[in-house]
Amino acid sequence: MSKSMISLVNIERKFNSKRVLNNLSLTIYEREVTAIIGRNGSGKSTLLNIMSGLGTFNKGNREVRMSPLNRKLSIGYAPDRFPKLRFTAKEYLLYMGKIRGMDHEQLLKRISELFITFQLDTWDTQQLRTFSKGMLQKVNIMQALLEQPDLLLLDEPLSGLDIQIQDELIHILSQLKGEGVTIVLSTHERDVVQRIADRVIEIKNGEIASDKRKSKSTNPYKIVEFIMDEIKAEQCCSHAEGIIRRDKTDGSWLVHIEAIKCDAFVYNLLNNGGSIVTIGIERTANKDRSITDTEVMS
Amino acid sequence: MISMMAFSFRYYLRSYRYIAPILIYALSLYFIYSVVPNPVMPSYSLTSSLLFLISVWLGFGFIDVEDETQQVISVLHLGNVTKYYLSKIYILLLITSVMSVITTCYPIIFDKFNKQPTISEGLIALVSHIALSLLGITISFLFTHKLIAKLSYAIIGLFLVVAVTMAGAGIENSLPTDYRLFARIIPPLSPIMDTLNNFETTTSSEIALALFSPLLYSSILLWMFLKLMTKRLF
Repeated sequence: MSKSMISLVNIERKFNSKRVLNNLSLTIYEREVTAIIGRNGSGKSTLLNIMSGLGTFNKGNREVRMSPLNRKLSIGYAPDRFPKLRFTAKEYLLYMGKIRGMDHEQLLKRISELFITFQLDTWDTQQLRTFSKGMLQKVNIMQALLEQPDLLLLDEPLSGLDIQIQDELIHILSQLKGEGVTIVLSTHERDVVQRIADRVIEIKNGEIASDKRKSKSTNPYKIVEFIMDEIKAEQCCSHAEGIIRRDKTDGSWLVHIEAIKCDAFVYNLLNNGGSIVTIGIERTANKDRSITDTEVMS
Repeated sequence: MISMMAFSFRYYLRSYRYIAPILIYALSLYFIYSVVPNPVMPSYSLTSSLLFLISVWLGFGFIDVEDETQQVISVLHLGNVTKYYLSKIYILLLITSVMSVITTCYPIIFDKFNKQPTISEGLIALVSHIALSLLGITISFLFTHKLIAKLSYAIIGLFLVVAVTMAGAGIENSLPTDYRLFARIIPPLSPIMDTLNNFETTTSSEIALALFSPLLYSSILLWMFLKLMTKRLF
């Protein structure tokens, strides 16, 4: 089990007389992706607000672990709705980074990286009020990622986005997960839950109705078959984490990889010009096979 | 905090909420000094009370200008809710201080007075304007959406407080002698106005007290506001 990052103990939150969170206790562990699901009004956003440190509560405690360098935990938070502001995307992100106290040069570099990652690099000088909902949501997540946060809180990050943008965002979240960022997200999309969540918490009437962790032993590995130039494939595989074995067949590559690292690996392949043939599931990887010159043990 | 101030200022400029109060203030200033000559300190008394009203208007428009979601994001990046609201106070104080300087200098430069004011008169007038604008800002901040959710209640409440403040001296005089102490809870606008109107007959200690009282009152209001805001986050 990983170290705990943030703990909520017996939290109660009332709005007027209505109890939104009722004696709720929850611990978020580092390097995990936790999905919070539940109906509208079940208390998901309130819970994320409290986790961020900005939401107040009537009873209970919020305990936060200090980050490794004993500084305050760095939290990135993307609320469920992002306003159409009278700023350009780049200007806005520059302001947010400066408010955060980031170095100017470092900030400019980071913003350029984010624009490329989120495929908004041609929109950096456009006014946010001209952006579509999906583009605004990207900027919303970008502001939360200006500094690599210890904890990333996302309130319904895919809500209202079209399938293509949803897919792009899921890839980005998978990459962040691969980089070890702790993520808590509230969502209605089962696809997100299935693809990236390690743990799924269901909130009902302000209480935890279920708290399930995806069992790693039942589905720990995936097999990715892809086509790619040999040198690039070697590079991608050597930089990837979690690869158990790789084989080269006629014209394609077959990689056995830990399921948790799979999305980041696939994202990297696609970014480097590879094309995916299939992604399959294997219950246990055959670690006992003898190693040939095309195989690498992780 | 400088970056937060810069962002808030830019945000405010692009909201255009400042145009009406500043335009009305400029026009009022023009009309007040359209007839010459004017007595020095009574004119400053009038313009400082006018700046108080404009500061209330500016403050009320400024405190909730940022979208609520953006407020959450800003506070989280800044890491401190007190700094967030202090940055807003500083910005408004900067704006009203510039207005105070213009208000003090304009009639001197354009020779609108019946005599040339002394340096001490000019300085006292400047401090009066700044002190009353700070009073206006801190009063208006207490009527933020976070403390009074319904806009109509906030506007009515603010109007009532402003009316009571403007009528402070009259209310105090109408109270029986034994109860006049209660008038101390009224925001201290009238002591400055009285002092400036009767400047020739007022002692230095009375002037100092009149200038100090709105600063003290504003500090208490600001302290209360910050305490309330740290308890009522988002």
